[in-house]
Amino acid sequence: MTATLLFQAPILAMLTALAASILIVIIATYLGKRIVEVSVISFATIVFILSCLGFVNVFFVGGSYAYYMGGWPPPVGIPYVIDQFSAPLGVVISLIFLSTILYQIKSQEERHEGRWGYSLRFLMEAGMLGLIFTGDFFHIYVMLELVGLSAIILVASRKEVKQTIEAALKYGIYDILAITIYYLSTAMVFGMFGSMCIAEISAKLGGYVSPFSGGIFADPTKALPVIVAIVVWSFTIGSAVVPQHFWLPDAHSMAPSTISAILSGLIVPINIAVLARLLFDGLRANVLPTTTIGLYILIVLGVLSSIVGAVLMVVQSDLKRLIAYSTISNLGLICIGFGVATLTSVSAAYLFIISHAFVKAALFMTAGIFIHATGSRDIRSYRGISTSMPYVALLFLIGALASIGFPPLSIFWSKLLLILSVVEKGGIYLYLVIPILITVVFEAIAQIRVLAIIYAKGTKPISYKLSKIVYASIGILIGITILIGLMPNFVFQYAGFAASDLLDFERYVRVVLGFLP
Amino acid sequence: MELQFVIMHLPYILVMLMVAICIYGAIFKSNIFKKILALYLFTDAVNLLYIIQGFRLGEAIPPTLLPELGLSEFVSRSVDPLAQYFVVTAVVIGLAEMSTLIALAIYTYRHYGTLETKKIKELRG
Repeated sequence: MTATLLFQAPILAMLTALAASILIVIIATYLGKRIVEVSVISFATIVFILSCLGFVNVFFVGGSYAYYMGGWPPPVGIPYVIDQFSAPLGVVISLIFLSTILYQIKSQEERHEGRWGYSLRFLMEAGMLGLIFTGDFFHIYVMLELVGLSAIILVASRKEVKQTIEAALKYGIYDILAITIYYLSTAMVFGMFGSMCIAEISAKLGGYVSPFSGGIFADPTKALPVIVAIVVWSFTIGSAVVPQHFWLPDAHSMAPSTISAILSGLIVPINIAVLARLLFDGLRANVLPTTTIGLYILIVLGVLSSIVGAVLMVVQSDLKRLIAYSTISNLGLICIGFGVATLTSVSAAYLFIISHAFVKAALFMTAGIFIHATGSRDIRSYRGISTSMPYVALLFLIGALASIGFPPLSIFWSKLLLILSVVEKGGIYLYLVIPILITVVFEAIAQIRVLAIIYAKGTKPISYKLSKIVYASIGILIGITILIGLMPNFVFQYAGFAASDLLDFERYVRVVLGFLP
Repeated sequence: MELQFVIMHLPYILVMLMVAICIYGAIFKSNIFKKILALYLFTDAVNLLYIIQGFRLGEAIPPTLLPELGLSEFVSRSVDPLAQYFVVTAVVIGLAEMSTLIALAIYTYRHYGTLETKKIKELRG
């Protein structure tokens, strides 16, 4: 009984979120507001607990495994791969959703989303959990649509504001373009391999001939680079890496704060995580010379993205746009980490994804409080706000310092490990130290300017009441940031497990198909 | 040889041309409605690619296993049902995409009175 529950926990988490998105609408139609709030919190808590059970199962009880949807084994059905790479991400996703929902219910900001807002949030959570667990090319397309469409509608939720609609439309067109480009790549994969299972594709690249779909139907040296380029293109639009970053600052600054937190903290890095899964486990990018081109593209775009994001951050006067550009520059660093493709660099990138998620979610939520208290998104209007709301300012201070990479907070260790891994790889990769250091410098300039304004002296005090639950919801995220910073070895050990699972495609094939051809 | 190759692969070439036109339209056209139309046609182009890949030249039959048809004959003559399954899924998803984008376009028109992206420039990008 317990073993079955542990085994099915991550799938149940995703299905609970999916069911919650429908149930919330039904509950809200017939019952009162209070009951809706209680049920929203309890659904989010259940999803979080189930994800934690999945995490416990993978690391302490059963080890990595694949769950076959409907009992159909992989080449026929859809496998859900719960391994050391995906299980911790599931916990991060459900924890951030829980904290944003707590914030959303208790804060005084944006109350008018109503039941459809909660419903779409759960739909998005289900999509994200599906996205990281799935082991099927086409299923990723379906889940990307689920995440993308609910995010687009949530960005547009303040529909009476002109700019919100403009931002949502821009985000909508480019996100759907990205997803359709990914759909094109699935058609090519289908034509080349005759199969959609990531593990089977990986096995076929190693010379396996499937009893269902045979071998490879195209010349891999010509077809594979095209497929890799299209996959990388689609995911780099979705995760706003530099040449295609223009939708991100608009969408992040115009969305409600909790949605900005989810967009910046989860959707964007999860896109990169799924890309890494496809490249390393599906297309064997770390060994196969025809697909390694994907990693080179990632490095080049990562360097561009980190520098452009960091430089543009300095000139922003809108607090949310500033944090959004910081997201772009962090995403560039994560891309560099995956592109270098050594064990250390991938673990650094993985640790970066997790710490970025917590820090950015917390920063956007505190920014939401500032914006609601002063009624303006301009940084200059927050002069001396720390005197009237010292605790919120303290949370922002820790978040901003973590975002710079101030020791001993979580992002410091990710950046340090990234530098170490680049130095370790040596050769031309040594020059990658330069963009990493540039981002640290510019990020420090931009964030310290904000902090100086917030901690400046002498303005009229603002009276603003905040519920304790709002403090708690941000406090959890900041607390985890500090906690990761205080025990880097422990966390880095787990990031190393995740990276070794990601880089070892033979283990992935064995987990999913049950044998190694 | 060259001509025969082109004729053999004509459907693929036409689909890829359509994909290129759609990506161009979605990015460079300034009217929002044209962008949405290009995205819709893009999904359809990929659907066509699936159908062409799953099709079998010669005496192809639809992928339904009828009782008077033996299993071995069905397998050797039927078109690929998997490709059609993907297309049906994508058509349903495409409906959701289009309704979302068109709803946003309607709101844009109400706020700005136009669908030209050149005139809608409140945000800096």
